[in-house]
Amino acid sequence: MLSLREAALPDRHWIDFVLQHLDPALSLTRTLARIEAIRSETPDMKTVVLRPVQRPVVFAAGQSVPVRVVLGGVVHERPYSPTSAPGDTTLAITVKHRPAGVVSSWLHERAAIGDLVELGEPMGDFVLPPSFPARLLFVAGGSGITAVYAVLRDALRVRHEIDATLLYYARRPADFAFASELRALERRHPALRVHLLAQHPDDGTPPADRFSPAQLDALVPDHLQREAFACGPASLLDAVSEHWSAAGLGSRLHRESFAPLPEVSDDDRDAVPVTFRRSVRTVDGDGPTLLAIAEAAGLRPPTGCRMGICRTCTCTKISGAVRDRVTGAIDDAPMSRIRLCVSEPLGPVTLDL
Amino acid sequence: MNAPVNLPARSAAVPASRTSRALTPDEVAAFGSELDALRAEVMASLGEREASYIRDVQAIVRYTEIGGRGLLMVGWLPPAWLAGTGLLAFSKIVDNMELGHNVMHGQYDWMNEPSLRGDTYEWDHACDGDDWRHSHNYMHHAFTNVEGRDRDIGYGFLRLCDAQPWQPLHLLQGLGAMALASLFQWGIALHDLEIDEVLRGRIPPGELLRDSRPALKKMLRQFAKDYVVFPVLAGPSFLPVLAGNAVANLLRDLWTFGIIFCGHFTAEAETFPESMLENESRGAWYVRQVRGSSNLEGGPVFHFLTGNLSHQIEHHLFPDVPAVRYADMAERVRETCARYEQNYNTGSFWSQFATVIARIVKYSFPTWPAAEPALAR
Repeated sequence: MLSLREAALPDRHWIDFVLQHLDPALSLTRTLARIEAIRSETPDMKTVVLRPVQRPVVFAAGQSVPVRVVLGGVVHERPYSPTSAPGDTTLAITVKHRPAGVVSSWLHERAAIGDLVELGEPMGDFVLPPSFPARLLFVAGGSGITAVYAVLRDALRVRHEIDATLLYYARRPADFAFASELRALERRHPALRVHLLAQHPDDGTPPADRFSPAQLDALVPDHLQREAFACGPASLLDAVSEHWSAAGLGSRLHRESFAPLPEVSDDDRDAVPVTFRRSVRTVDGDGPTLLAIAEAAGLRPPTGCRMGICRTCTCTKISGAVRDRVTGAIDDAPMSRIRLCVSEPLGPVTLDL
Repeated sequence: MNAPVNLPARSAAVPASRTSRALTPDEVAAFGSELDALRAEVMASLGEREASYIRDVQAIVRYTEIGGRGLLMVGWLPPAWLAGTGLLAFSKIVDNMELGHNVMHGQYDWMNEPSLRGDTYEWDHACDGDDWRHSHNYMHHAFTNVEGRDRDIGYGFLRLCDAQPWQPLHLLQGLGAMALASLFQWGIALHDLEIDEVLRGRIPPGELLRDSRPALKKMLRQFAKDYVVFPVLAGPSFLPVLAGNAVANLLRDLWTFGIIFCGHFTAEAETFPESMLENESRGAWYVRQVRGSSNLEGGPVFHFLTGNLSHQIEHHLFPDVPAVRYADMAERVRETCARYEQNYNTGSFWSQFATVIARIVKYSFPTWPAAEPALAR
C-alpha cells in the first residue's frame, strides 16, 4: 500500500542517531548491554557478565547469542552460549581465549567493566525437546561445556530428580570450567553423574581415555536410550555422531559445533564462474564457499560467525544454484537470499555483491 | 586461481582512440594487473581511519539536516531561511554523494555496520535504493559508456554520440538538459523505470506497472517529506519551509547533474560500440573505464562535495573501494596511464563542464561518424 503515514516515518537508524546523543546505550535497532563483571573460570576461559540496557534478551538454555563489538572500525560478531539461566536479569557468557580470535582477545585482554557491547537475536536449536526426556546424556569438549552446562542446568531446574550423565573432556584438571559448580550439582541431584575426563593431566593422575564407544559402554551402558546432547570440537562431534548414526538413532542426538566448518576436499570440485555484480567482477571460483571465493577475489563482504549462524553475510543471489553446506539443501531460485559463508556454488552464480 | 573467467588466457588487444594509443594483449593484461595490485593494496589497508571517516560523514549529514530543517522552521526571517536552505542543500548533497552513492556501492560493507550496508542503504533522494543499485551499480558500472547498454548515456533522451540516430526533437535537447538538471532526482527515479523502453515498445507496460511499486513508494515518500510533512509541521512557516526544501532540492539537483555529466560526457570521454564487450578481459574493462571517464580538479572541499566523483576515473576502476582513498590512488593511476599512453582526462570543473555543454549542443544537430572520424570510437 502506498500510504502517506508509512511514507513519512523516519528511518530507524536516524532515530537511533538522535537517541545516542541522549545516552550512548539507547537504541531502537540494537540491543546493547553493559559489561558488569569479568571473572576467570580456567586459565583460558573467562565469564563476562552482561546487563542488557533496555530490554532483557529472551533465549532458551542452550541457544547462542551473537555478541558484537566494534574493533578497528569493524563490527565483529561471535556467537556465545549464555551460561546464566534464561530468567536472570544479567546474561553471562563464558569465553575461551583464542589468541588469533579478535573478539575473544578483546574480551580477555581489553574489555573493562562498563563497556558496551551489542547483542543479536538468540539462535540455535540445541535446547531441551518439548516432550521432556526421561534420561539424558551430555558430552562436552573444551569450551563446548558452555552450551551443555546451560542445557544441563535447565533440565535439572525443570526436573530435580532427572537421570543425567555428563562426560566432559578437557586437557588438564585446571581446564574444567564450572568444575566446582558441577560437583555441587552432583551432590544436590542424586541421579546426576559427572565425569571430568582430563586428557593430559599435570597432577600425576593417569590420563582419561579419549571419547570412544567402548568408553561410553563402560561409563553409560544405557547411553543409546538417552536423549543426547553433544557440543565441542569437530573431531569429538564427528566421533559422537558416527556412533549414534551407526545405531540408527541420529535423531536422538542434539549437537552444536563452535568450530568453523572443516574444509571439504577440493579434489572433486570444479571451479565455477562467480559474478559479483555490484563489484563488476567475474572470477573462477574454486574456494569451498562463496564467502571464500569472494574474499579470494579481494572483496570484503560483511561477515559474522562464518559458520552459517548469524546471517550477517546474507546476500542476494541473483541467479545460479548453491548448496547449503550445513543443511545440504540446494537452492536454485533466482533472487534468493543466501548466506555466503555456508553456500557452495554448484554452477555459475551471480551475486549482488 | 580466481582469474577472471570472462577472459581467455590472453587478453585481446585494445584499439587506439583519438587520444589513447592501441595496447597489445600483453600490455592490456599488464595494465590490468597493475591496477589489481593497487586495489589489493588499498583494500588490505582499510581500517579505523576510513571507518571513523564515514561515521563522521554520516554525522555531518544528520547534523546539517537537523540544523537546516530547524532553521527553516523560523524561515520567515530571511537570514534563517538562507542559512537553513543552504544547510539542507549541503546535507542532501553530502548524503547523496559522499555518503549514499558510495555506501550503496558497498564501499563500507567491510565494516559490518548495519546502517552502512550497501545492499540496504536508503538515501534522501527520489530514486529507490534498489532501483539505483540495479541501474547504476550494475548497468552503468559494468557497461560504462557502451552504446545501447549503458542507459546513462543521455538518460534515454539526450543525444551525445554518433551512434544515437538524430531526430528533429534533438534540436531542443539543450532545453531538455536544463529541465533534467533542475529535476534531476525525479529524472533519475523515472530513468530507472525505463519508461523510454516502454514507449519504444521494448518492455510491455504491464511489467512497468508491476515493477514500479517500490519506486512510486519512494517517490511518494520523498515528495511527502519535503513538500507535505515538514511544511505542515512548520505551521505558520509552511511557505518558507516549502520554498526552502524546493530550493535545497534544486541546488542539489543542479550540482549532482553537473558533476555526473562531467564524469562521462566531456568532449574526450569516449563511448564504445557493443562489440567492445565481446570477450572483454579485466584489463580491457579497466582500459574502457579510463577512456570513458573524466576527472575534475579542485581542492579538498570540492572533492568532498562531489562525493569524490571528481575522481571519476578512479571510481570507475575501483567502484567498491572507499572513495576517500581515490585521491591517494589517483597519483598511481595517472602515472600508470601515462606509461601506457592512455588519456587521463582531467580538468577544472568549468573547463570540463564547458565541453559537456558544447557536446549537448553539437549533438542536437545531425552529425555523422564520417565527420568525426576518431572521436569516441
